[in-house]
Amino acid sequence: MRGADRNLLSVRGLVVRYPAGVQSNAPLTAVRGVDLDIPQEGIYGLVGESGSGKSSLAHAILQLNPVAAGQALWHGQDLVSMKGSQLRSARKKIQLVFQDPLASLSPRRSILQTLVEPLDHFGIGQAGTGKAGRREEQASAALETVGLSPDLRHRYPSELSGGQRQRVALARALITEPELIIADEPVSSLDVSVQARIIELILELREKLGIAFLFVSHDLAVVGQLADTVGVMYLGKIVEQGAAEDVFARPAHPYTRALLAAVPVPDPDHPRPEVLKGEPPSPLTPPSGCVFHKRCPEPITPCSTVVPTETSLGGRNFSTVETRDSQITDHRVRCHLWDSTKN
Amino acid sequence: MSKPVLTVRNLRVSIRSQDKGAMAVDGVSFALRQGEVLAVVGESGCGKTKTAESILGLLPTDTWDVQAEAIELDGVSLPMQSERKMRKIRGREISMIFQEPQTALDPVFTIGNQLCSIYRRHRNKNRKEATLAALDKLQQVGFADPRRILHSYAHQLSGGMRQRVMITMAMACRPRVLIADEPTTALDVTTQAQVLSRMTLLGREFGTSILLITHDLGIVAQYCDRVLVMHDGRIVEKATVHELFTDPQQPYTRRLLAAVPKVRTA
Amino acid sequence: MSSSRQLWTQLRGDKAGMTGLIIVLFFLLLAVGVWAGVLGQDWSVANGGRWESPGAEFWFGTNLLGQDVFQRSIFSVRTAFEIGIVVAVLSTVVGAILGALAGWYSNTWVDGIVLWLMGVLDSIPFYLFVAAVAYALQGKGWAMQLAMIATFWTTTGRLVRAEVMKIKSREFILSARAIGLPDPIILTRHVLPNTTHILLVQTSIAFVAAIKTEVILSFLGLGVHDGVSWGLMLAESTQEVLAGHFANFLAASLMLFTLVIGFNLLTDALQDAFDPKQAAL
Repeated sequence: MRGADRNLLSVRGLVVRYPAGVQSNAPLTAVRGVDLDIPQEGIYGLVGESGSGKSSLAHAILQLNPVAAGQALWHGQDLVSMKGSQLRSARKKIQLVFQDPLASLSPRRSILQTLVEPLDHFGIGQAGTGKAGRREEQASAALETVGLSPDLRHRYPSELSGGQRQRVALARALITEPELIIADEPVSSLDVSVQARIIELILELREKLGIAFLFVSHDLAVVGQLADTVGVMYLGKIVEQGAAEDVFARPAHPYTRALLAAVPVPDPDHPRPEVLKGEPPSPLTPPSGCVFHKRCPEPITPCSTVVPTETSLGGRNFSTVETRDSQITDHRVRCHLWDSTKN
Repeated sequence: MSKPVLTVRNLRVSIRSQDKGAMAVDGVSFALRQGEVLAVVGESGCGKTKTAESILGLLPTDTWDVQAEAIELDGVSLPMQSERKMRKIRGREISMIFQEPQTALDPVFTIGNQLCSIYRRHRNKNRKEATLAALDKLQQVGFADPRRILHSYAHQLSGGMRQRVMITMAMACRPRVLIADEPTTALDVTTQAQVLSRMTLLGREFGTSILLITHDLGIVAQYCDRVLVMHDGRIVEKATVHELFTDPQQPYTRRLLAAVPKVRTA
Repeated sequence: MSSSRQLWTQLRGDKAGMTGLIIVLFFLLLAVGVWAGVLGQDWSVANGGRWESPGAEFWFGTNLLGQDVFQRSIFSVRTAFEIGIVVAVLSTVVGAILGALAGWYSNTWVDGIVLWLMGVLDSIPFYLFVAAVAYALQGKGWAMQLAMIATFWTTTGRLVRAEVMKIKSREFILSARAIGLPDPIILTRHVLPNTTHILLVQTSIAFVAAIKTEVILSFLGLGVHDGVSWGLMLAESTQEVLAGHFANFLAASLMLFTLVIGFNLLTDALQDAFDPKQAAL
């Protein structure tokens, strides 16, 4: 693999703000300055609950949301301000998959039409005998890659099951041979057994095709199965991130701990999920200081007034984990409890 | 052994249409005991929701054909009741909460209005008593500022708050049975923990038996006493929660358990 | 199967709807017959005596001028369809385009203009508007159709606008935007095809509205000039009925009534077929 500093996507200080509109009278800041790195062929699990801004972040990378500040560096160039042919080629290489498989496929178009659309748009597969024929072949190949029969290409989304539709969505994402797939809750509306198979498929795609994933989800268990790196979001900020082993085994931020403790475990002898006090916050009226302080089980003095900065836990009684391509993933937390300058 | 509060025997539900389609519910029998939390778990389309809706007679008879040897609440046969009697039973003896609380709450009235009207109608309280009772119940489900909730409208509350309001409304009359159909599927995991803990707490306090429909085996393990596994309209396995997780009998159950992703912890 | 086949299957099961469809198709055949020069050609020939009773030669009798009422009724079918189809299709197209633009660019100046236009047109009393247009176009044949199109499109426009506002936040639209498809392509390829349920129903409704409006306009002398229509026949019949001759009146009314009922049944069936609650079963 390439050298240690080869990040596919580096987000720095990204701020997503929706202007005052129909929904709210004030502008809504969904993402308040986020830094994250996705290495080549890496799977980054972005975890958060509603209002955390995780979807806003994911969509903003592809210019689907208004970015007020910050950058998303793709091969060194800023995606957020890209235009024209540069943006076009970036879009070819970064694809998006959504939660609701039925809503993400155009209902009146056949599977074939849906799959061929990105090829037509990007002008892929033009060489060869008969433009239309070659693209149809590519569509069939994409279907096979995701484990579906190419015969399905003439059907319509309403004729397929949820799992099949999600595979089609993945096939469409694959067809332009992307380097990164941004998947926004791709398995959340699927049954557990179907979920498991899609998760397997994603891992396979990474193994065989070397595709990196930004996997956005509220489901810790699912993220745990897939991700190399995990980032936990709360109210527009990443409060903790690091190698999945580190974050799950040694969660540093009180929110991460609360999140892990709240998940019901399929083991009757396991203690019951703990209840996190307070109500989920509204992004319209964020608390001062640390965004989590009102619900934190262990707040200290600075929490209500001072916004905590990111502290690296790597090398402080915690081992950093070496990932596949000998890249060290730092375990970082945004919390006054861990702030080395204060303690 | 406590006597069953709710008995269902050989329930069969199908769509009345020209072609003989598959049965949505195909011979389901079970008993819900006093004070227990019984889980009905299965994947989508297994018939768990239709089972619940037929108990309460909520399926329109022109589209659905509901047959059963027995659907009894404390020995009283429910299908034999007139629609007027059923309306009294619903909400008072048996309550149901659904996955999408926004459709169950009337957007035009405040929460207080809807909650108090239940107390006034079903428990004959006057306005002041009803308001006090409502405030008390809202506090019990964990609202820090019940008065504000009383004056809010449905759209001003988050999903988790609405669901807790629904639980309050459903439990207002201390029903014998609460049927909760995927009550937390649309909620965040921290909110889910709050909703389920309050719901089971109230259930224990009022002696309400809970029929909890879910697809999440984690919820089954941590909040329920017994479980029914449904697949394709039939009950595939019946067991206590301990039995199911330590020694699942049926292959379908084992497949279901194997597919559940487990959160990695230390 | 595609949605059009699904629609057809659903429609087939609806007896009332099929009846409506058959009625409409029957009338369409009559209109085609007139266009083809096979039927109703003698509508203006004054062969018979004044107000002859229905008989072997003149099936519905004759009118004041000795013209064959039956021939005139049949010819009027073509008139009805000419007006109906033109107005229905064009008003729906205009409504779809403007409504989609307004919905897609909602809360911007584009939306503002379209909404303003809708408001202005809706607030002008229709018959005054038609009279004004008719006068302005100095009796040119298409004054009436133009006036109708200019007012009918607003209903479709509003419905399409609302639907587009719902569709545009759906994920398949986000997917299209994510790969960078330009707006016009997204609108034509992904948005508008998902409004066909509205458009089909609206076309049907507009057709009926058009022929009914023609009746009133012809009554007022603002309608059909060359040729004959049910409206003209009804206008003629006002005098005749007083004198005890009902042929014109009955023929025109019954045919109009039947075609309208046919379309109404068809429209109801289309709406039922598109109803998502029914589709969920």
